[in-house]
Amino acid sequence: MSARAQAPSVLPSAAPAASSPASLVGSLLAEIAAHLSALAQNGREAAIDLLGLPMGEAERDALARALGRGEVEARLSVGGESEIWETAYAGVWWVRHFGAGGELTGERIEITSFPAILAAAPADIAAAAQRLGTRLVSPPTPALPAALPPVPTSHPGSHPASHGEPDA
Amino acid sequence: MPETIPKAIPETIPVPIAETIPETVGASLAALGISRRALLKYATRLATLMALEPLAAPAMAEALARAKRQSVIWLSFQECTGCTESLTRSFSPTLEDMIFNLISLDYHETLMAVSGAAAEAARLSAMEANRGQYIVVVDGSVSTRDGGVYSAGAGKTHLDILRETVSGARAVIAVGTCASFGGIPRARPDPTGAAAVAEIVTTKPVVNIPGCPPIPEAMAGTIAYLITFGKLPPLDDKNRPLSFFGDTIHDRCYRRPFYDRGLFAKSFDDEGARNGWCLYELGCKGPVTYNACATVKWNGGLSFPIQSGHGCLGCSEPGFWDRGGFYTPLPARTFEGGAVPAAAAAAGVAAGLGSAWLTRRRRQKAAEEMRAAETQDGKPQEQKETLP
Repeated sequence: MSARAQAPSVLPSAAPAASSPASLVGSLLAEIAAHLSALAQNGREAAIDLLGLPMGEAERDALARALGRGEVEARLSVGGESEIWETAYAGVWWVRHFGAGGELTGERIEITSFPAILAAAPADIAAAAQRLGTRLVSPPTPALPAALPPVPTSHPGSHPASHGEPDA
Repeated sequence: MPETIPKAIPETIPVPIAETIPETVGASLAALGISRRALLKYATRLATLMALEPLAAPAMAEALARAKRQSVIWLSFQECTGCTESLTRSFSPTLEDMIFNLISLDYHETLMAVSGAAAEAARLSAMEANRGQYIVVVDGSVSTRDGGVYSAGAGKTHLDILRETVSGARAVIAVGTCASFGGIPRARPDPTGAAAVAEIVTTKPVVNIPGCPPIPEAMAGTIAYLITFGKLPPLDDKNRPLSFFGDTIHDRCYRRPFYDRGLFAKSFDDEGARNGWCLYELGCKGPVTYNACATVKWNGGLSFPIQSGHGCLGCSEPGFWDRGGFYTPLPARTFEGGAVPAAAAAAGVAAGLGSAWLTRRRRQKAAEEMRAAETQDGKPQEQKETLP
């Protein structure tokens, strides 16, 4: 489903040790652990931008497996899709953003009690309150009067293929 | 050349309303039904692109929402409109469009609805209403030979229009290699005396976003940075934003392991090419080209020239148009301070020169065969060799 741009996998099999999945994932986990401690102790939030790191598919999968899944999963539809889930470590969230064409535009680990993008913004709440208020004082347009004839379901001159089917 | 140039703007034309739209970005987004959440998602994307602190996104979104829409005057000179096309045909339109909600594009010859005298009046009134605040975006180089007469519009040379328009500007953004370094119009023999914006404008801050065309995210990201933070992003010695032009293509190329192991494609569509090996011997200019093609890529991250099997042309560098052939490999000595395995480079040069000759020879042979086949029965025959 994720239409992430991926270079063809024709790299030599013996990759240099510095970029082996284990070491990069290990250092990322250590960084996340440090941030999570800071969050637990003094509420300090942090975020790690995964797209800015030289991570391949293998490293990303290894990190996702290491962090696991928690209790919360959210799907956003704003300028394309976004997926957010809590990992098995409370306070560590995985945030993935896609553009309107399905391409990956952002991927980050957020260490926070609640990712900012999930919350409704105060300005949006104010605008929605106004909209709902307006709707209550001016109700939607009433239904059409029953005197209008219903749309015919079959017509003498209709195409044989659509005979018996209601007109679109 | 006509002897008398008609007067540009008759005084009787009423001045169209082009003052700064008084509402904030947040208000105009709300009017369009775009949520603050969408603005936050956009700011998050920008933070990634501009290599900013990830937690900066909410503050950026807030700053953008509170800002007045930035007045932008876009001037087009000796250009092909590719830069505008790159920016407006973005792959993820919902988010890239956002830049057009952040700015008030008060003048753009290709995009604006009016033309002629009304357009010129719009430019002048926007300059007056936003004096000291507007940003000038320029694409295309400026003719300077013979007073700049080879590139003109509305009865004025582009040289004069540029000087006049930047007089009240806050900053100037030169998009594309033509505006940044002269570009294709400057190619030998440079008949119009094509100059870069920075060679003419010396009293205002100038940012260069080169590329032929530039990556749309580079254009949008830099403009958004300027609007959000009110200052220019960190620039390199050629006034290019470091977040997009800090690394060479070679530094971030996914085919680098093949280069390091001396595995090169020798000709287009050979076995090495099909295995995705390094394109150094086919003339790739990646090692000397600074741009974000290897990371941000094109068409929403879909691909970039090397990934599609063609070497980098170096289109974001000065003089790329007169550097010899696109298919001539770089000599090893052009590497500056990079950790280049000498053996691979030397082997590359020797093999590259050989392969360049072979490629040319094959091309000649294929052309000869095609001509021979055509004269035989008047119809071109099927090609036995793939033309590069």
